[in-house]
Amino acid sequence: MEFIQYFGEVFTPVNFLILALGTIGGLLLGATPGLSPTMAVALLIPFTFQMEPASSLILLGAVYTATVAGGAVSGILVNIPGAPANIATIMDGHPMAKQGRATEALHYCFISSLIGGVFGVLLLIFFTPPLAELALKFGPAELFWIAIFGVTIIASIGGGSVVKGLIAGAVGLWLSSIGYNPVLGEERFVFSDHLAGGIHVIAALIGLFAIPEVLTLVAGAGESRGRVQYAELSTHSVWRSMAYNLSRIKALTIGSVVGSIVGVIPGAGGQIAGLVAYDQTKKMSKDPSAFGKGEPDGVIAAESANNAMVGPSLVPLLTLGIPGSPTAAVLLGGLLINGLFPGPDLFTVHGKVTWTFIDSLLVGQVLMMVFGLMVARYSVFVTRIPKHTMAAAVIVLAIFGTYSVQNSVSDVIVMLILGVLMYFASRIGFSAAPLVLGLILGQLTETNFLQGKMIAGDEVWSYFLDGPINKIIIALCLASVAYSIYSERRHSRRRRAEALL
Amino acid sequence: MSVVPGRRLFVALLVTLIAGFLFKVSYFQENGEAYLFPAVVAGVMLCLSLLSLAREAFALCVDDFQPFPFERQWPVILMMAAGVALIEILGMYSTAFLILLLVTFWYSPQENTRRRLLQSLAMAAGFSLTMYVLFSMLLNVQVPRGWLI
Repeated sequence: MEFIQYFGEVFTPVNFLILALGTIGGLLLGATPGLSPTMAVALLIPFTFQMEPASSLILLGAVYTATVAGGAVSGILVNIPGAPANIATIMDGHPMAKQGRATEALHYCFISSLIGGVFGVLLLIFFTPPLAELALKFGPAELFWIAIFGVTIIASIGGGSVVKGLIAGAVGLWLSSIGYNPVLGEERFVFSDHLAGGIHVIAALIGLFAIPEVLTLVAGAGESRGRVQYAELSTHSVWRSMAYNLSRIKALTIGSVVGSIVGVIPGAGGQIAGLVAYDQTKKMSKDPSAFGKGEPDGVIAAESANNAMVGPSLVPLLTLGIPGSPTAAVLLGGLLINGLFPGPDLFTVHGKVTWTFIDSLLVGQVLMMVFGLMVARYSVFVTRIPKHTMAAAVIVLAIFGTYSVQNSVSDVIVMLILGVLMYFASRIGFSAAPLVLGLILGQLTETNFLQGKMIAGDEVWSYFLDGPINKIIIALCLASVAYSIYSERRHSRRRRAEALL
Repeated sequence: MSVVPGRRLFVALLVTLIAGFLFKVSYFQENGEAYLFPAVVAGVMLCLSLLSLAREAFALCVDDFQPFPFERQWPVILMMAAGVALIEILGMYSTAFLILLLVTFWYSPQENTRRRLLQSLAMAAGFSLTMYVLFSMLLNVQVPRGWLI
């Protein structure tokens, strides 16, 4: 029960203020169509450098949690999900809004987000320390395979072509080798002064997530405003919503359990959590035909699932360094920047910072509901920000944030080039998430690879391939790729059949 | 959007060539030990890109191409590049003001030029001022100071 010991740290004036501001900011950012949670967290990381590690993680965690819930606001009100995690929410949320029940839908959204979120964070609290203990048994070979597993799974489950996902992961790993060899110290691939010291993870994170969104925003600037219909917000009692919400035990349970299971699977993310929970709730409902027409259970299941996903998505991140979602991958960058490396040390050497962060996620869930219910009425204004204004603001924040990491214009140049290239790559089917993960985990992978090779001497193959843990992780890597290839082929066949029809 | 298979094949070929180039610069190095990891990674990348090329050649891929509306995007790429070049000359906040002004003016759907300019000016000034107060006055973040601020 170590986590109880550090609850007081969350309530220090500075940390609590940061948590509150992060939650409100996250709700507003989440409600803004075009600003994904991943990009919001990536843009924020440079501004946390001046803070204490605990405060910085509290801010990033609050924004992560609140953007996922805030994304439902624009989904419900204008039928544009703020984040992919809210796609399932709009299926019944927006029909409710069109029936004049927008406030009620928003109430269900935030109350079920709280319940799902608390469930998820409690799982994080109870499952992370034993898993971190298990990580103590890992040597360089196991850690090497764990990093490869992280890249493999995020490449496979991220959607789209598996081969392209794996190529993107490999590109990330290769880019991480620019600069100094972590063991031998030799400089590699520094063909320009701008690359001296390698590619900074934060510059890459911002470039890869923010610049493609800027280019997408300007491509659609001026198009959608005239067509969007904003739902009217009527008055509805919060207490009535709460009583109704708590009575929907089946939808809440399905959402929280499915969200937690999906969250703990590395790479799956909130979008899958919400859609699976929605689908299961619909199947188990007495009246499945009501779904899609404004059924509150649809909103409750989807929102409890996508917030229940947040806590468990940090379990593999904090124990093994494998993020459970693209946003968790960015959060990993934030941990590393603060000198916190995933594994058992997080709960022993850095126990205070880690438990304060986890406790803040729990308190943040409550704040998210309170502020969500208060802010929802006003966040409708945020959804009206024109795309070109949003694009301009993101550009400036991206440049400002990247520069402030090391006071270096070179980082800004690298950020911009990577971002523009990533945009074009994304249009031909490559995803940023595996590339970012490859870049973040690259140095860890290389260090363990080289250390393992030194320890193994002449028996490199047996060192890396033998041993039960190695075999399990390699089998998991192969299974994730095989399953993704199977899914991709099935999807491809279905699309061809649809085209023929 | 349906993309002609020839273009898909060309992209797969380009990816293979890039992977081949990365493999060449990683593998053929004097100090092979220091380049071992990137060489292995580039080797895997080359194998994957060859697989991708084969899949494209036999039309086994899902159509995941999307169009580039480049005619709408090149101005913002130029504005960002110009902004980066100007940071150390003009200073961070002046550059931010210019970028905000140019991007919001260029992409605004507003047809009245005068109103468009006024809206862009107001937005650029307000956002730059907020950033100045927040980052320089409250958080004391170091930013480049050029001729202006």
